[in-house]
Amino acid sequence: MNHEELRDRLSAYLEADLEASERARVEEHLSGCPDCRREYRELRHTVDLLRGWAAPDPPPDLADRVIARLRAGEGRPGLLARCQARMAGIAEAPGPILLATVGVALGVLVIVRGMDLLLEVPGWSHSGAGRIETAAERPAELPARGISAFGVSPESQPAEVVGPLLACQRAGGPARPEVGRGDPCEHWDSWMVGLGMRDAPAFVVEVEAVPAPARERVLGRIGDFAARSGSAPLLAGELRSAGDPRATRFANRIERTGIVSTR
Amino acid sequence: MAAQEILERGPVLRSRDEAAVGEVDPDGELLERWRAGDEVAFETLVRRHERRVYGVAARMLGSREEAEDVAQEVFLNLHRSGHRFRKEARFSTFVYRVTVNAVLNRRRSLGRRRARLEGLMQRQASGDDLPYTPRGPEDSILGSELRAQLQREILELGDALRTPLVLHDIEGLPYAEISSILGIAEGTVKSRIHRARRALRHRLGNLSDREVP
Repeated sequence: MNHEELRDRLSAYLEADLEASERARVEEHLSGCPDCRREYRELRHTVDLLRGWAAPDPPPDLADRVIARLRAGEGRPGLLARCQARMAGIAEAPGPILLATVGVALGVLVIVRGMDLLLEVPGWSHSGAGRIETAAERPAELPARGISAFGVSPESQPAEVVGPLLACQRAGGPARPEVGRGDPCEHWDSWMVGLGMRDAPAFVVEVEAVPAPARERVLGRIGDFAARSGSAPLLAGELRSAGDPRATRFANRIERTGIVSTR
Repeated sequence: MAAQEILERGPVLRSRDEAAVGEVDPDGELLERWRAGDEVAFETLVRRHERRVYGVAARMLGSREEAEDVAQEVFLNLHRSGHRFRKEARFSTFVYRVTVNAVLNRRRSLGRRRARLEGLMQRQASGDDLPYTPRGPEDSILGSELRAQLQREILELGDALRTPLVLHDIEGLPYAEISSILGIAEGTVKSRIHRARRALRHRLGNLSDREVP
């Protein structure tokens, strides 16, 4: 075992996470190598520091303030979330009820999913699988929950959805830096929430093709939306660097600007 | 440390993976009551988990103010999205997941406001904004200078390394739970924690040689 191999195993050694034979090899190396012993000692000291660090006390009124906001109506689930909760409850129903409701649920699902929409903004183009990556789930489970949201014609959507979105589109799209009250795009995020984005714990976005001047703005809008919706944007480039296959399997590719995709 | 001492002391840090995954969820009853319409049950969950949420946010953000904002948002999000929670994981795992996502979102937002972040760092350096001033006998094993340095170095780590490090070495979560929270393989969790420790060891080298009060 050379020095680097030894150092790669020091955390596992500290955690007693090595087989007996490998642990013996580590100890044999340590007993004859002052430099690696020093690294081991410092690493262990670092871990001791971290583990000896008491948790900071939250503000004494933190819970009270949260509860006050909840009682004031903040944190209410959206309509789609409530529908999903109902459907989750139905899944635990007895067989005949389950069979009877599955058909209804599928019908509802088709309608809800049919609302998945990518707003086509003039001069901007979009492509990709349109799937939301769900961080806590295995990728193999995702295709059953994700469908393409790209290439859906706005004309095929219900009028109450299309109208405001087209108004926003005519006004130049939602990527302008300031969208204020009375602006056609004021409710852009609300539409996205209504389309299901809020319920995704995470989603993957690919922004490599966005020209540098626009990329920061795009990332800003993605970040702002994610902060409000409680979901986490994962950058495909970062996943790719880490060798994570979700980078290509679930990326919502943005070629210029203006992301919208739904499960 | 003498070679003999190492062989005698050995790997004294016990694995924290002993927490049984799949054991009865201590929050299960409250969750059932909440789902049945009892909002007081959710308020009890808020009080039960506020320290956990605030602690992770404070350590990953290095700011009381930001941690408090994030903690409030986390509980509103939990209330909003609690229906998504599945019984195969513990509710506390779900809480951690929502918290980590909220923290990462906040950090990205802060990253875009670099000047503000630099201001935070300066306040931390002067000790004004650190949630790590000594608070009791347990905490006093670390000197304030070393603690402040540790906080700064943790903030310097990238998100990919800092998050599993905080969850494992500070919060004490087992690898399997971190794997579930972050949606990455357990081996990747271990590897990132090791890289984070080595990076910290390197940066803290001089300080960690000192005796702390």
